[in-house]
Amino acid sequence: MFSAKKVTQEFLSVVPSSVDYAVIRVHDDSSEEIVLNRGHVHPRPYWLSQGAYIEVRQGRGMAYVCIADLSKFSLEKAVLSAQNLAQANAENFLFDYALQDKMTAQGEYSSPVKQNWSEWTLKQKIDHLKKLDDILSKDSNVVNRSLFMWRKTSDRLMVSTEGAEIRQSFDRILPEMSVTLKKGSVVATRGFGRYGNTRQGGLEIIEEIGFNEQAAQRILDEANKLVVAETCPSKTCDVLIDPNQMMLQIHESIGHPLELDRILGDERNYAGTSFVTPEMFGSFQYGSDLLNVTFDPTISGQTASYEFDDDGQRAQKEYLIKDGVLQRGLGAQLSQKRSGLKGVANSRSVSWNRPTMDRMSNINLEAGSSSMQDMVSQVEDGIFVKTNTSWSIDDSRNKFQFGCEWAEEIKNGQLTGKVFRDSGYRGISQDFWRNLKAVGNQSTVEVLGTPTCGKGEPNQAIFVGHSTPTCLFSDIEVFGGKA
Amino acid sequence: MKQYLENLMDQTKKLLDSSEEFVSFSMNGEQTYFTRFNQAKVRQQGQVSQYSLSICFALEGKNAQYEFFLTAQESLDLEKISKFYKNFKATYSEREKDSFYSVSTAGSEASFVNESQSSSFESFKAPVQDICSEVAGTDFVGIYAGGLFYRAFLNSNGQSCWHQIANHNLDYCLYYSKDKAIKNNYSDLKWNRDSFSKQIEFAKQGLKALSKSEKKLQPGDYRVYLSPKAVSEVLGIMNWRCFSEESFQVKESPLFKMKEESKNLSSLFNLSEDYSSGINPLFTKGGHKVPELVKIIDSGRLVGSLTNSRAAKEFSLNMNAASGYLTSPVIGAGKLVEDDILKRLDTGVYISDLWYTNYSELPTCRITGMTRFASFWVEKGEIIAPISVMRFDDSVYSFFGEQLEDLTQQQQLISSAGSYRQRDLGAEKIPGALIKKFHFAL
Repeated sequence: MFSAKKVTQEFLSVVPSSVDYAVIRVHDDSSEEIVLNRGHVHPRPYWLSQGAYIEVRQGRGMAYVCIADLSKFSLEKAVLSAQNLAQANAENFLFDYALQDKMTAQGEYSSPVKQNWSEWTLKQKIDHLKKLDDILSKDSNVVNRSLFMWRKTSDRLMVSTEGAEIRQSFDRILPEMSVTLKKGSVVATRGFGRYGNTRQGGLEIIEEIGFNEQAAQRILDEANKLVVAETCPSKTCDVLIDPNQMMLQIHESIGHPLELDRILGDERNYAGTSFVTPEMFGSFQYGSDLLNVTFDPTISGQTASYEFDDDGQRAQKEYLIKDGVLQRGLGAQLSQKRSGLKGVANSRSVSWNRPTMDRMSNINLEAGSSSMQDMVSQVEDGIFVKTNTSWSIDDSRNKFQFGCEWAEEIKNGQLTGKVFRDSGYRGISQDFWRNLKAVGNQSTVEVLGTPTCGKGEPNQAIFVGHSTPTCLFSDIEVFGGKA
Repeated sequence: MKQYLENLMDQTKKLLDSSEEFVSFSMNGEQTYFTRFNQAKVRQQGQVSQYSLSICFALEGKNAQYEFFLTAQESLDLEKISKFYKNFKATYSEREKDSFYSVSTAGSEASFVNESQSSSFESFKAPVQDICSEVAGTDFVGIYAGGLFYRAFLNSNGQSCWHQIANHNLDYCLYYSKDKAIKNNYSDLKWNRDSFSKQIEFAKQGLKALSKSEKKLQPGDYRVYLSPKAVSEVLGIMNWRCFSEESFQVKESPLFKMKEESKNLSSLFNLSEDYSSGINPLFTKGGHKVPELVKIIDSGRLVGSLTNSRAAKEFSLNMNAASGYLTSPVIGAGKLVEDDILKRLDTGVYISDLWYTNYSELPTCRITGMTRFASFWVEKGEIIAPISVMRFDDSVYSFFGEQLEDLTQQQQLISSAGSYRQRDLGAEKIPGALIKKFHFAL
């Protein structure tokens, strides 16, 4: 029987006194996915991931060893391997690892679960998807339909040679569906949330986010509108952006550029660098004074909430941008020491087989004071866009281009009901956020999150959350398709 | 590990209640040393040992799959397998018959072994000191990954397939300043310090071209040369949806007009999935043998697609691929000689790297992305200046179609440096491309 507690006890018993510092992070993770493609259950594996990340610091050096064999013998071997590796390359390290604080905290965290995943049998889960699929299948122009419910758990126990003991238990659910129609030579796809509805919690999420028959009928109706719609016109105009697209905008053009490890150059070979430089913190006007963005891992049920980061630092809400001015970066304690900049507790790892690095957690755009009607009424000639379908931005996080699944015309202060397909918009991050004209009030806020934020060498894809209202921007270059 | 898996299969077979029941293993393992560099120093280093075992139990048209990481302690691994088997039996009545189930039920006659390198894991530790010495004093950043890959398939009818290979893979940049750098990759079965040293010296020479003042281009159409790495980046996004038979069947392939409306690319363009390098296993996760060569585009015409065993069942076709994605693509060579690239480009943009590509319009296979690292403005065959990064937005039907002027004679072997979940096992052979008109949007 797997016992993370026993593994950590044995780990502490095998760490030799010659080791300066050691920490173990034991994972007991799992995932389960029910997939229905074109009416057929597509069997997906139940996935169990038990293993340990062991890190040793020795002099200036550090090394990690990742193992699934958690016997006492294997733990001892891993600690010695890490110690030897840390010593062998100590003189080649970028900085003295003694800089990094040792983990000493104790505490616990659990996702808020009201209805456990196991309360529905396998058949009930399949039946729920089939009920929605029945609706999507009732249209002769449908050429593809796909639905799934995904649950991922992660139980982590971290123990250090300095007395830390932190247990965190995450339970996340992501339901999704999409339908594709073809009429003539035009093909249009409409999705429920395009992987944007990940939350911590249990099956109650299915109801909370409305993953139901009404939603299936809505996306089918919307796909039917898209497949006969004109392509989006190319022009510069006001753009009203729904939370489901705003989350990507925040992620790519605020979240990533504020990561301190990017600013420190760690990511230059892969994920990229940043247009943000150290001297900008505290004074740079990132956006209009309506822009307020927080790092907030304390929101119950949001995708990337936690009590401690994976280096054992306690997390709390912090303003990254206040009234449009850049306040602090997304860098954990080690990056803060390396850069001399203020940061947050965001050192995270996706699993036992990867080391920690600076990540987003929940990066949220705070609600403003405008109602949806207020914002629409401000627009003489513009479009309302929803649901990301394409994303691209330069390695400094400046020149972006995003595609949206749904666009709707706004004329003379009203949504006209005219829909456009193949819509997109492009711009430069710092100009874009300075054109923020109105921020939706709490009634427009959606709490969203995705499992697919990729970064790091070796690569890691991690859960991040973005809560945001609908927002209005002026002077944006929009474009459509050429088909 | 091969012997361990065979023993584990023997023990697992003993768990089965009847001879009608079937079980298969698919194993994906690695032992890897990772060292991450920044500013020519070590940023992080470590080693990962992981053997992910996927198990499929099947009985009378129903099946269930489970996946876990082997501990290599038989009693512990067998305990997990036993628990999964009990779950399969307990949920059997709730499971639906799977008409597209496609795991190989062949016997020992379909067994297959490829063990191309048997180096010890310890031997992959050595290069870090070499790398630090060779790049000292430069702004070097990147990742070294070295070690062994394992792929296996076994079933209860006696089939046993094994593939083992090893490599050193150093993916890196030498930075000049800000976003200007020379990007490169050193990959080989055996570490050769002299070869790496020569590559670094060549990269250092390349930095000189980045020292000139940056030229800002205006959006518009440009004559361009895409290096093999830039072509590879375009192929990377095309690999998402373009070539799978499933995507064609559900009309979601961005190339569906090639299939349904007889649209073609340039007759110079040839693309195939080619396993002849021996890097990838010749068997799938489901234990089926794959052909060494599958032609996808021949002289600009779509002649094939990638059909995995599941899609083959669903759409009543023959299986020809492990998945719907290319893993060892080869783009055919052209006639452009390496030394003539700048001369033939004449006046235009030399693009060494593209980045963050994505579809901007699926039906026209229009793709957007950014230039990155080292791209240059060229006039009359001479490099004038590096350019500031530009966003392109153009259709594959145009730049690999009527606007494709030539491809290079030399194809570059590019090893994948990807490592989400585990290290990628893949490599591609790609030429550079000379393009008459390429659209920059921002």
